[in-house]
Amino acid sequence: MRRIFGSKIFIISVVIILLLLLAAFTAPEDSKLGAVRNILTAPLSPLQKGIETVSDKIKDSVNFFREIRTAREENQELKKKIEQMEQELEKVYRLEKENEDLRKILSFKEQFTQETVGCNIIAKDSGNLFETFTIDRGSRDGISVNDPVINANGLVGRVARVDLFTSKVVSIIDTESSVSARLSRTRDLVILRGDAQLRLEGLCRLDYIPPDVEVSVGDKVETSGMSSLYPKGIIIGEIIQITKNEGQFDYHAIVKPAVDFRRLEEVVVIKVGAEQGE
Amino acid sequence: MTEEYKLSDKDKEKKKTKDIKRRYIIYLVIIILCCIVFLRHLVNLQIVNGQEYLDTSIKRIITNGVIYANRGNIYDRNGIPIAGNRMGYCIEYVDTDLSNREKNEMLYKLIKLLDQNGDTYKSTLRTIFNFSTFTFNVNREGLIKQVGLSDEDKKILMDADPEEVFKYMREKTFDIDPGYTDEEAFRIMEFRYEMLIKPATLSNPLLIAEDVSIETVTVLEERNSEFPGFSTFSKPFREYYDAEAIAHVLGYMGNIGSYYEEWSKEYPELGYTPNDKVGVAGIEFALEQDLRGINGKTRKEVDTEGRLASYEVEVAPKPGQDIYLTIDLNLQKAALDSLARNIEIIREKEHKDNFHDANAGAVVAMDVRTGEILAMVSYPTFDPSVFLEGNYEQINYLINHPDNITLNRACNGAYAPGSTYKPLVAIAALESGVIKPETKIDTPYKKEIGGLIWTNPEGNQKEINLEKALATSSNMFFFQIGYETGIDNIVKWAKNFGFGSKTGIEIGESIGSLASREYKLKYLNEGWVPADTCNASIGQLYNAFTPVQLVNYVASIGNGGKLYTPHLVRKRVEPTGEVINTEITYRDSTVKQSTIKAVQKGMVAVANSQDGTAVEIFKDFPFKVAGKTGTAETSKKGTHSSNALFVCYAPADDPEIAVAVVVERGVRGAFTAPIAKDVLMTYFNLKDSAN
Repeated sequence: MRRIFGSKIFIISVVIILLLLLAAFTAPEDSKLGAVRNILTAPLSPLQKGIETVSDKIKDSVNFFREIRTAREENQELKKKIEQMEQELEKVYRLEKENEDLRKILSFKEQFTQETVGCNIIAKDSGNLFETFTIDRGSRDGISVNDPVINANGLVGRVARVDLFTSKVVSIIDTESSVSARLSRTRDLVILRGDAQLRLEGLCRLDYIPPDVEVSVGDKVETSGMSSLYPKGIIIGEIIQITKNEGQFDYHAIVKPAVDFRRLEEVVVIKVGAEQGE
Repeated sequence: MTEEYKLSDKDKEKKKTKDIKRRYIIYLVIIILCCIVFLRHLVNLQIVNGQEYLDTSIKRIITNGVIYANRGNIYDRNGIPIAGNRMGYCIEYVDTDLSNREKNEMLYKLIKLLDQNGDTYKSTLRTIFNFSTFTFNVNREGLIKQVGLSDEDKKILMDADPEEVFKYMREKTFDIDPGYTDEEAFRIMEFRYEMLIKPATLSNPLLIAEDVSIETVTVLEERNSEFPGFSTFSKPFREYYDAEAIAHVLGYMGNIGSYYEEWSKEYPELGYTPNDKVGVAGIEFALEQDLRGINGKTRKEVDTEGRLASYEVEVAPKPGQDIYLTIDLNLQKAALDSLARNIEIIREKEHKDNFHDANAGAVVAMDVRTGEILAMVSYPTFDPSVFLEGNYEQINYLINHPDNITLNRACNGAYAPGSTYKPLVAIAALESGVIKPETKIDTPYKKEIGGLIWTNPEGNQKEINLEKALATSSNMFFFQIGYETGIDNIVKWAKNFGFGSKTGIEIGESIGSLASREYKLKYLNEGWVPADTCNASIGQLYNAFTPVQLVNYVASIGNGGKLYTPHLVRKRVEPTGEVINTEITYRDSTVKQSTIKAVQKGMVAVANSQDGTAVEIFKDFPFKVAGKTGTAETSKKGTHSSNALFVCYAPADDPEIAVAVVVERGVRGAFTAPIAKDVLMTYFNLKDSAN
């Protein structure tokens, strides 16, 4: 026995058979070697079928999970789209009102001429809210200081500091933030500021409302076209309270931002700075 | 032996391992304990008290802020707005620890921003040092005291060339980079100087600029990290609407700073600060305390750069009272239009006494039943908004204009009344029994009265009564009756009709002067002579009255002798809505009704009898007008036209309105009657359309 297995001839023939088998299985269908495969596979086919059924089943279930994932993604995307559409609906409302369709559409388009970059939030200052936080993109990605930051709901804030791979964002509820805003309905210019008290509830203060301007709860606020930082027409939020101090000439309102600063994951930076060559 | 040794060696090894293990466990426990302690602290720091620590880490200061009270609005009698407020933005500054270089760079950026938006700023340096000529506008001592870094330097700078001083400020005091041009450097210095003389603290920030554009505010707010120390705030700013016709009544506001020295005591006591504006003329001045309101107070939280973090109202401001004037703005405009137009016409008129120099005048219309001033116009007029804008070029032009544009001629212009004084002399004569209404007096062309020979410009009028004398404005008649009445009686009745004293109108007024023994003695140190009485009787000599005195007097004749207090404020409305109506007050002139009737008759004849001096003008007028023309010679007779006056009331049988018109160098009294006619016409038309 030892001799047979030990003989060179035996080893060589085993290797040859194995090579032939390999060649047969891997050869194209019409090849002459196919006969060899057929002979060999015929008795093996039930077994193979079984294996295939199992593997198909596995494949199916894998696909099922994969589809769930895509559906979820799609769902998210659709939700985002709905949010976007809601945002656009607001814009359409404004367009109609102003009766300056063409000009508005142009500026609307302008809004999307700047390049944008999606970012993840990787750190935030302590506290419950995203007042100042760090994102995972930096100067390497073309982000500059003062670039506006938005998400699908509206205005988030601006970039306050840029490092190579990360950037610090100051949100509109932070007391360091001021935004030139406009009342969507009356078109009046106002200044939106972070307030030391209101920020704790994720709210902002809307200052400099002229006494002859009538605002009401529910009025929408958006970025004005006059801003030195923010593109025109980004939704900021809506007025939830009006504070007319007795005897005070102008008055202020409290704005609930469209962005939920309790839950914030992904934001988009509009690369205004890069375009201006700053 | 060796075995034993080996064994103990092995034991030792075992023991050693055990020892290490034990130590290791001890270390591990210690490390874990440390970790737990740290973790606990971390959780405490970040999660449990995170917000609190974050808040305290951002250094904020509680200070008091001002809520500016809204200044009261001013309306005409029908509620047409004349003065109100609009919102404006201001910039203030709080010193931060920036280096000179950083500060200068920031200011240069600010200057560019302000320029770009056409905003101006406060600059004390500009008032001291003239950059375009490199000279000092005022004594340099104050400047040197501030900019000199050592006593030695100060000594040198006092005698140095202005250029040297500039160079010193640029290089030493403010350390401005040589990269800037001299002009840029000067403008940076303007701000730096302001910051030097008034240190800006968190509780007392430095006001940098007022009423800047929203564009500037937007950039300063949004890019606040680029402008550390700068912040913005809003406050109401005065605004005048279409106020040129009513400029002299309304007045205007000015910087308290310019008037601060004069009233240095009063203003701080009343709670003003040097940055405040106050009314300095007209209603704005007279009713300053009613209009201004009381500023409120905030408790505000600011960060170290002066930015407002939050605020709450501590004391609510109290807005000023809204003022409703007695003026009818439409009548006011009609009066101004007519006055301006007729001054042009008079200037062009062919007349032997016309030097074609008429250029100024005043019109006052008053309700004879209440003393309400319905129109008060002074010409030339101006746009009071110029004073609000702080446009110094235009302000200086107005203030230094030879025509005295800002003078309210209706209240502060004192004019010899000329023949408009004759009804008063008639009253004095009738009351003292010198004449009766029908007494006829001989009025030849020439006559000696009181030691002088007088001529009658009307020629020989023969025997005429008072009615005719007033209608034709006979000088001879009034020389005679005035002389007989005597100056003391005339003065007594002049005083009874308000001459020689203030009428009591709210805004500033002149007393004028009354030709009397006291006056002559006091100002000329001379005794009265009988001929003086003749001159005084035709409204010359030292007689000088304001148009508002004249209208009050003629209104009194119209209403039967009551002297109402002329007033411009009809009512004041508190912010609560409470209305305070102006009380109508009057004083009785004590004149007899028969006297008034006789004078009224004469004044009706002026505009209605065949030879009345104003009959041509009023011949088609739908109402009967009672009036009196006046032509008053001035000291510049022979080179200038005489002043022209016209006073009247209407309707003659049931008077409502009295009008006094004065046109400086208006040649003839009758030339000004068309102005009064336009005012009456507008008044009655307006009344019609209102009904």
